[in-house]
Amino acid sequence: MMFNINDYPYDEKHNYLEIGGEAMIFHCHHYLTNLQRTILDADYIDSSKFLIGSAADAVYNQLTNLCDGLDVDSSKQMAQDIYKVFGYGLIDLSSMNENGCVLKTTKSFFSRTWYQKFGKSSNPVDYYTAGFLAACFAVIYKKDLKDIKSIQTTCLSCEDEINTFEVSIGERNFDVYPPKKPVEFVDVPKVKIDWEHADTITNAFLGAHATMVGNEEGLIPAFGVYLVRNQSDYVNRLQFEFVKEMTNVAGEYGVTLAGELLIEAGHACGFFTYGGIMTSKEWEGAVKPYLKTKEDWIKALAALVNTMGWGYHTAVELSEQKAVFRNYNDFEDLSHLRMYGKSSYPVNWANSGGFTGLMQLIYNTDLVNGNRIDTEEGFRAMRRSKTKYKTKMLKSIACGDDYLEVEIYS
Amino acid sequence: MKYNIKPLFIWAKQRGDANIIDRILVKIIPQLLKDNIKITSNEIENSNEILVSKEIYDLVLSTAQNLVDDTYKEEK
Repeated sequence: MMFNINDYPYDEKHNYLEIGGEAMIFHCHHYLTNLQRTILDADYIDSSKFLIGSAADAVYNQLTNLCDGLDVDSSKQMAQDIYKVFGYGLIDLSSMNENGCVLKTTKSFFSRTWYQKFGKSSNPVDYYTAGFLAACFAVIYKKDLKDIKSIQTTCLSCEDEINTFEVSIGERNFDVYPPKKPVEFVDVPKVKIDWEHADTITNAFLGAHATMVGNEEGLIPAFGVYLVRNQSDYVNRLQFEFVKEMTNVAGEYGVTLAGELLIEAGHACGFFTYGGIMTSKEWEGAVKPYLKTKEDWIKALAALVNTMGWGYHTAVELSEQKAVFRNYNDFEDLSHLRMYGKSSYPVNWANSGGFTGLMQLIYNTDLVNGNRIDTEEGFRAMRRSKTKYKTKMLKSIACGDDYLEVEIYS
Repeated sequence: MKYNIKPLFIWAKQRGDANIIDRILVKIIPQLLKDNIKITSNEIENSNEILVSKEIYDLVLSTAQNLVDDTYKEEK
């Protein structure tokens, strides 16, 4: 292996992980497939250009750094390694040359989980890998991204036997973006998690993220979901470009509708992934002995996920009726500032939806007694039958605030 | 003549994704805007009826049926 996740230290001060110049965050398959379907639902938008382009841009930046000084073969190995370690599946770049490649694989996070969650797709869905391969070609063979064409022609999600990608010099079929700014943290005093065991939980799980790497299939099954280590700017650009396109179509109304769906994707992520964490054997052994109240469950979860690179989660107000959560240096806001600068509206839909999902889990299910809802139909039924928590995004670093703040109320 | 699309959304919500109402709306935004309709899922859930043209009714009906993968039967 050319790549070792342990070579990249976790920034405890900012609850942040960077690899090859790219901020890295975990997302689960519920979030990513939901997000991608939301984007594709708006079929009057030519979204394939940014679905591929967002990946190509982030991976190009990352591989340019990781492959600096490496020869062609070593660079290929590095690209294959990160693809696998990050949980996207398996790729073999040995056939890539100066002209590009036709690459086939049966191990694909996006194709597999789309089919698992939504059934057969009418079109290929692994846009990320099309972008990833365009970036590999550009970095390894010193091509300009602007001159590359990268398409997926067959897909497991369409019930094809294999995923096929064609990468070549040709008419570009994806967007390219201007250079982005370096990360800028907002260093203000934090309201710490108001719970005596918070540091104990955080310290117990520091470094645990490094155990979550792709298996022999290049997948990361954990907590009952498939996780992926995303380049934060890849996945957040999907949100930002989608909202931008919806604004072009429908102005503020487009932002409102898109925002509702983006929050819902975060909600599903929080519900399934946090639910999986809070019923895991790791939670049972290292966390549960400290839990007395439902509020303890929420604070413990925040203490644990503060080791995962999403910023520093905390609660400044917490009850069944209403909670106000904060996140210092949350990944969505930092990403927006790097790529787009300031925003006139909050941009932390995934985080806000995640907090909503957490409240739903703790107060509207019987999770604390070990009864987890972990099926799609169970999730839908619960969302229909219970009073919904509502989400009000109050503050956003991209709007000039010092932190993300969101109110969740019933 | 105007047609009430509220029952279509109720039907879809009983069978579809948690966010099915927003999914339907996003699918048909261009057509909604042509009829000057800017309605949200909250407004749909809080209103008794939403009256629209036959064209929009048919569009909501077909979109809901496609997303839910079922056939709507009007309750008598």
